[in-house]
Amino acid sequence: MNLPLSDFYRDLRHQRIVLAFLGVFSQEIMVECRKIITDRQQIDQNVSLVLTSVFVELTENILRYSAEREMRDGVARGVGIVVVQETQDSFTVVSGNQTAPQQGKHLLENCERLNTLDKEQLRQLYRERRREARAADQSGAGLGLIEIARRASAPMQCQLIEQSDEVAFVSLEIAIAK
Amino acid sequence: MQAIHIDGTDNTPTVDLDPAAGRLEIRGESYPENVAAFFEPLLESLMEYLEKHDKLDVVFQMVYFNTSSAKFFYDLFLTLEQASKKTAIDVVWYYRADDEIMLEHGEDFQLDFKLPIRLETLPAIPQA
Repeated sequence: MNLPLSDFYRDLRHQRIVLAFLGVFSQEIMVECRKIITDRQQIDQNVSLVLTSVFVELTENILRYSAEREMRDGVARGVGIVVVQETQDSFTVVSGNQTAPQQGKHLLENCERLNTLDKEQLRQLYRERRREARAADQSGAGLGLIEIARRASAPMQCQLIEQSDEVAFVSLEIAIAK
Repeated sequence: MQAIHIDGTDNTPTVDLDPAAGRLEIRGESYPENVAAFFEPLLESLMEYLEKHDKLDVVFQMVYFNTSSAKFFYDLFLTLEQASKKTAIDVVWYYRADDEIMLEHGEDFQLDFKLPIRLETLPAIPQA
């Protein structure tokens, strides 16, 4: 194998990465990852719940929207990456996946728009969207991203890297204050 | 109708619908992968119950629920609201005293529905 694993390990440690997952997301993996990041000692219960919420909504985005899919148990599941970093006063959760450029652009614009709203405006928007969502499809009505924006302690960082006409890589970086 | 009891798991809540006691309880965590498969049968049982009974006490004691579950909770409240013309409905929404997120969820359901929803605190968990 050409991968310098010890360098890779050292880099992740140096960056204070407490969890990194690349692959097909499933419910079981979400549950286990949730335990890893929230069963940590000395984590405040409320911070743990905020971290859970951001982590769950980001991974559900990957499950639903990743353009890269693999069959598991008869269901095509999204492939992506999620990394959790812990520093002195905050956690940072980063998620990334391949996407159709148009869909990535939509997410980027959505993020920029939500970043302009304050917490109370986000709360109202969440209520409005939830009211409208029931009649619409089951795929979310953008509630997940509003929830993430409500829990983030700094503006969400969204990046879109176009790789070809058909494929782009989209990433979301969310800060959570301790 | 039969009583319903569903044991909670890491990502699904404990549910009790007890027709004899006129009580529905939902407790724990909720972020199932297939949220419809979990909640739709429950909504059907609830509607069946509401058609045949004139009283229901509802207790929510959630630790965490995701946005997909939040939409089903909305549907559940909507079902309760519609039934409240002929069925006496009383809802208690428990939240841990220092859990602002769960408090806000309770307040938002109060604002969204014409139902008696009481917000009750649970003791805060002492920090390690």
